[in-house]
Amino acid sequence: MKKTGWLLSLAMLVGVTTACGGGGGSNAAGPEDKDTVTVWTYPVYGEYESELKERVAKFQDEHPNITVQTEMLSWSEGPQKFDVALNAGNPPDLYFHSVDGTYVDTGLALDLTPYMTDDIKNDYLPGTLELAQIQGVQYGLPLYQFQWGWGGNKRILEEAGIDWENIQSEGWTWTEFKEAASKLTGKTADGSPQYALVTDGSSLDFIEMLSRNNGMPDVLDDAGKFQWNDERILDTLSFIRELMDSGYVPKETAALDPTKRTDMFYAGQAAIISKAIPYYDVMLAARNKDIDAGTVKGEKIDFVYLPVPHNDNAPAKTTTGGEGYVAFKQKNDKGEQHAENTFMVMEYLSDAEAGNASNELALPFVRKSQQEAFAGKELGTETTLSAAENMAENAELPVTLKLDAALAAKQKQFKEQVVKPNMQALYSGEKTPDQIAEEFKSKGSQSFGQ
Amino acid sequence: MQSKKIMLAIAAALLLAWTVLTIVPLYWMLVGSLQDSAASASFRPSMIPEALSLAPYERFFAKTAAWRWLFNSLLVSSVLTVTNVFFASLAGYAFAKLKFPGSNAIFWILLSTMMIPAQVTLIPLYILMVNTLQLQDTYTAIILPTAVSVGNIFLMKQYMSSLPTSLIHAARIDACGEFRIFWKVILPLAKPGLAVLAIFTFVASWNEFFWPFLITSSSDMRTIQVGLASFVFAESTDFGAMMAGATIGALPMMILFFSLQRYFLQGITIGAVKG
Repeated sequence: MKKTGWLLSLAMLVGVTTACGGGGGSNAAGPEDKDTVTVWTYPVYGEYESELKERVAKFQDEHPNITVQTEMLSWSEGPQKFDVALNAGNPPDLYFHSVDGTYVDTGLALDLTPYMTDDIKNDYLPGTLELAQIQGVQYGLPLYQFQWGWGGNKRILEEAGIDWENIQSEGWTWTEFKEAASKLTGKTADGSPQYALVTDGSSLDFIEMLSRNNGMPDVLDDAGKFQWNDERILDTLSFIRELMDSGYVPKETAALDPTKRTDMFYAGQAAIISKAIPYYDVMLAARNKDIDAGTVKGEKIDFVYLPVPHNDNAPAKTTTGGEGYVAFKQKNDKGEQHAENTFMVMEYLSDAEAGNASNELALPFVRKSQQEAFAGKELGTETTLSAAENMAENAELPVTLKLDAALAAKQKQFKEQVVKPNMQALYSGEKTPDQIAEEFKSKGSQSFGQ
Repeated sequence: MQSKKIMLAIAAALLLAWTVLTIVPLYWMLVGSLQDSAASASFRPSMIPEALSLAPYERFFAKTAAWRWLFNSLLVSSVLTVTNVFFASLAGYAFAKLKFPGSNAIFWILLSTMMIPAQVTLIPLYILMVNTLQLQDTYTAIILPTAVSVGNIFLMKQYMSSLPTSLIHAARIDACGEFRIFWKVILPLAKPGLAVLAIFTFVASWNEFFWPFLITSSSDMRTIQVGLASFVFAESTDFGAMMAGATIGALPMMILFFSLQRYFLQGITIGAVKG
């Protein structure tokens, strides 16, 4: 009797632990069963948070059994929070980001192929769906195509006699940029220093854009070959150092964050900023209106969208890609019906009405239905839109779209652990371009075996 | 005599420079909160504002759940102060004054956990709180991981080691139970140490950012530090309102510091006491 009791207890314990251990949620859930879809996103543009709230409320009215829990993350700390959740095996169902090989490497990115109907596929403009694929597999739906360039202050450029219209149409080389920079560096009316170019020291955009304009698509090319191990990266680093030594770029760059860079642009202390997107056109127009209305103080600024200069012997390239919602499952999989509900929410948040993101950011639409919905309502000046179109002709897509997921993860790790601290060292003058190029070469050889 | 005066003057000048360096960011925060956003966000802020305005404070309270965030911070910090004082003093007393098998080994094991960087335990802790216990977005999840810290246990052990053991023996002779000895004899004697522990725990909990940010998802559960971060966007930040929030967030700490200054000073030496 006693033995039977022990066996029963053991069986119950096994039952309880198995149930707790998960491994399968309710796979038998039906389309009408209650479900919750979590969405982690960012303030994509000024009014995105309030618009998203309205849209989610509307979705829940139409689908009363589905609760959509949204969380608005801050751009600075949000990625860290997501990384912890992903590594813990519990990412949100939808996350706003570009598709990344490291996500696929975790095995938690949701393959959307089964849910992509022909109607949806045909609605996307040519080349746009690919922006959310890794090696041909769809993991996300792009909300817009981003494009990174530099942004200029029209008044300062014109006062220095810079022919910005020609730069917009023909592009410019590093030598031409240095000539322009010498004219753009000086003092503002109140005696503060005015820099030709201001970038932030915390992110990698600057080195990525410049190296792309020196014949290197990324740390690796899309075939996985290590690129940052020869004279090209040394030239790029030396170019940056030269800009700092000449006083064209602030010596405080290591300590500047993206917000401070924008603030300097507003204060007329930066003739050009890196990076800029066409959205500045819309943002500055709104700011100029506020200045007219007396609610904001400062100088009105007219925005000039500029291509990133390229090395004299390398072709011009514009950094482009797609951002939107990426779908995930959790380690404790919630089942097929949940995945379907997740896709339904994702498609709703990426539909024709969601095209307002592209419109607000003055970026190209990704869906035909979005083009139709916003026809005649486009924001952004004609000059900026036309400059963006010119720059799109040299578009360089992220190598991660074609790169093997494990290699993409290694590249990301290399950037975080090797490139980031070395760029800080370059900006602060702790290391020379030669030392950094040598370190890239040796650490890259360890990381990629090349 | 002359050289002593010179030394004093140099010391005073250095201290003055240090004071200015410390005060400037606080002053900037204050004037930034009383200026228009565009002006306070410029690269070189005007230290003497042309016009003062309370608009940033109005925006801070009108556009955010600021009162709720302040309440959350107050609640979390208060609960953590109580739990840390209670558990750390009990554990500190046990390690300092009670002889039980393995006490040294347990103490060293506890201390060794302090050597593990927080980043290493972050993901397992997240898995425990979110995946296993399903506690995300609750006060319990914010409070539980730091309900008692090993650092505080160490601090209390050191402090209690300095208290006279003869009093405990006397109480035992008078047939006093262990908990009663702790409550009636030890705690009153340990008041200064407990006060230091309470203040430091409250300040640390009030200023904690990453864990509450990680574990909460709704605006209603944010603490003031997490709420303030929501002002930072990639291309535009309402600096005025952010500075107003930072001022409001720092105010309780300033009041606490100035009213309990002597305990803060005691805190500097408390860990150095050896029994």
